[in-house]
Amino acid sequence: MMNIVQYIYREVHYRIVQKNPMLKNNPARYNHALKIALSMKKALSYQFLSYLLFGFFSGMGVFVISSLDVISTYVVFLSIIPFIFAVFITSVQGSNVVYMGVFEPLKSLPLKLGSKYLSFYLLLEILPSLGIVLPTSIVIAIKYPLPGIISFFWFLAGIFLGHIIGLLILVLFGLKIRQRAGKSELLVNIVRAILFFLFFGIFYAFVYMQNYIMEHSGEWAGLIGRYSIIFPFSSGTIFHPLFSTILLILYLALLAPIYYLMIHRIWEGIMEPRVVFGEKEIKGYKIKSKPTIFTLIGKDMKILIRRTALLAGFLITLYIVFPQIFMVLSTGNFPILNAVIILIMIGAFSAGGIDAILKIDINAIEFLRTLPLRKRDFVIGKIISMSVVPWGIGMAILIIALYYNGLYALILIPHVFLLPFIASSVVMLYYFHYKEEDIGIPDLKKTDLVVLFLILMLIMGIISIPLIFHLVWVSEVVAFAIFLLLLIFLRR
Amino acid sequence: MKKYFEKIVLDGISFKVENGEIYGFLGPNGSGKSTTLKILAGVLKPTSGRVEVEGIYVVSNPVEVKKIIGYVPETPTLYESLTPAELFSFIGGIRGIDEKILKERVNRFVEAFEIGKYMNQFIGTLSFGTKQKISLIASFLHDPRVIIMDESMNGLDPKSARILRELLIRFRDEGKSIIFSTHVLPLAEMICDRIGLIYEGKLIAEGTMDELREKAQEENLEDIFLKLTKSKDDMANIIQALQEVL
Ligand SMILES: Nc1ncnc2c1ncn2[C@@H]1O[C@H](COP(=O)(O)OP(=O)(O)O)[C@@H](O)[C@H]1O
Ligand SMILES: [Mg+2]
Repeated sequence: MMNIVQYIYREVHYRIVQKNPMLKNNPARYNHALKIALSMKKALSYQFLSYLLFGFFSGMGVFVISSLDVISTYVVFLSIIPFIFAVFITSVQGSNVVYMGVFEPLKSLPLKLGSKYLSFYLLLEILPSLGIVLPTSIVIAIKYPLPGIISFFWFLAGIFLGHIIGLLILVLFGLKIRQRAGKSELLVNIVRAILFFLFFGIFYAFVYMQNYIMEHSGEWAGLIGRYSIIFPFSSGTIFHPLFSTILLILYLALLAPIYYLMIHRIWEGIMEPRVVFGEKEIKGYKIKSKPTIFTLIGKDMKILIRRTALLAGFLITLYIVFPQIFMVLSTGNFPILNAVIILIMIGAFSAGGIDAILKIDINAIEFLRTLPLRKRDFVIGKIISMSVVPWGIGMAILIIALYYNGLYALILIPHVFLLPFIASSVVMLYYFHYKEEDIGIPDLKKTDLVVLFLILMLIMGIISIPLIFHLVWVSEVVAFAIFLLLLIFLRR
Repeated sequence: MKKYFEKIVLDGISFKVENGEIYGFLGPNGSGKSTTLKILAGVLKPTSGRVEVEGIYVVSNPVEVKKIIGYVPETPTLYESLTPAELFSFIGGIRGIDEKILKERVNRFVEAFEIGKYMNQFIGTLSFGTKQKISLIASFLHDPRVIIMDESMNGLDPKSARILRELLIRFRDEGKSIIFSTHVLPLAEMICDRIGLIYEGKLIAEGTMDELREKAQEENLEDIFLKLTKSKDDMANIIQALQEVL
């Protein structure tokens, strides 16, 4: 059992190290990276410890807080972190495992429900993130033992829920191989994306349930009324241990069967990738020759739409920004300044799609290296591919803003286009600044992602300073200056 | 010389392929054929040494070299979720091949290798041999002056293998340089102008068939190969040992 999980772990990490161009020509670093990557225990405990360091500081914060309300609010926010980790790692890493063909050798072995190994493997990758929340639970437990322990269970529940959502993404998007290209694939994928959002609808159904219970029951009404029973808010109930525990058990009862179902579906998908035949056989075929950059972007888009597991990662900016847009719109008006703030948020989160964008080429990297392709062209293509989703969302924001504010909203246009480009360029420059011309897939360490995110926050922060004084124009000029600066870097 | 990190896998290999020549590259598994060919194609960097193709240094100018090389890797690693038609368009775009010329070339190759019915199917769902054909076409589309092929006959059906063989001879007559590795010794004997024999990372023999015969004092290429790679004598023992356990 552990053997197989370990095999998956080693195989995935071996391949990731192999594809990393920065290590290829540096034997010392390569050997080091390989050693860490191949030793599961070492890598995981190393990660756990570095998260623990983060967690330690946030845990210390709780120590000085005396208000129970503040502590439970804090727990609510903290529980989002392992949850998001779980969603992200399960969907993105899970699809990579399947996409890279790590399961192929296992198929010929007499394994029953091999997808449980995939699930265990993914959970193993997620577990280090507990380091972020563990100290907080301990600190709470020192003062209030039972709530402290329950808070830990809520963190675990968050991971489980996130893992299940990730598995759902895999089931919906990640496992199909289509035989023929056709127009309908885009449509099918849009339907799937809608299905995915409907899953979140389950949680909105909880809200109605909550209202119903509140109206029909006496003593619990106060409690249920006070807390939303939807995760992550549900983890704010820790100071009502009985209520909280019952809620936890309810969650488990709901999630366990869903989990079992997902595992089954995934194994079926892996063993027999459903080959979907597209439209009837097309007689002729089209051969086109376009300029390099367009060719690269066209290839990225085609593969993203077809490899739906990658699509899930590609759309990640949308998942993050969607609730914010929803919240702002529910207030009934949409001042320009709010629109700008959302656009800046989109910019900051544009980097979310990077993993998917780079994984597109992971299996064809040798082939790419046989072509006379310059690294610069490759990078620029990727920057634009990466900006597509944020541009799309930005455009939607622009239209909404036009509706509420009239033509004045056109002032947003520079932000709509510049910010995602700036964010994507920064990310790509961060990863591809190495000297060699070799094209490769840089390894995305979580610490790198954190550093990058901080850099992006900084840049977006600079761009938003003028907004404090309501000077949208100035903010745009700043953005444009940064844009020009990046262009100069990119030309190198 | 090429080191894979600590291990030296190529050492002191030096050879030259002329225009209008087919050079066969033979050697047991793991002797360094693929590594050598990858270095020639600019896909891999040598740890030290000089590689020159048509007067261009591969190490310092890989992009220029790749413009005139057609390299067919040992295992086709292509974009699995593109169709062959899209892949060829992709290559055309990257290599800047004129659309009309590209179309014509693709059409001819598709007919020759009989893959018309797969043109709109995802590459990931095709058989190994079909992928191999696509990989071959992919590296011929820009009409390269230098062709590097790594065991490219693997998986081809007899008809396509024949077509490829004839094609290579045509290419040679047009003055292209061709270098390929293979384990199909009769093929090498038939079409190669010169043959290089590599063993444990070293070039242990090189020359025309006649020169090799002379050197090994054997008649056909299989015997020459076995003798020079010192595998001839223990053959009987190996077979004997296998029979004992089965
Ligand atoms: N990526 C790699 N990392 C480490 N060693 C390698 C790698 N690729 C090949 N080798 C080693 O280099 C040697 C030559 O391999 P290769 O060139 O593939 O041989 P051939 O093509 O002649 O069978 C072998 O010993 C092989 O194990
Ligand atoms: Mg080889």
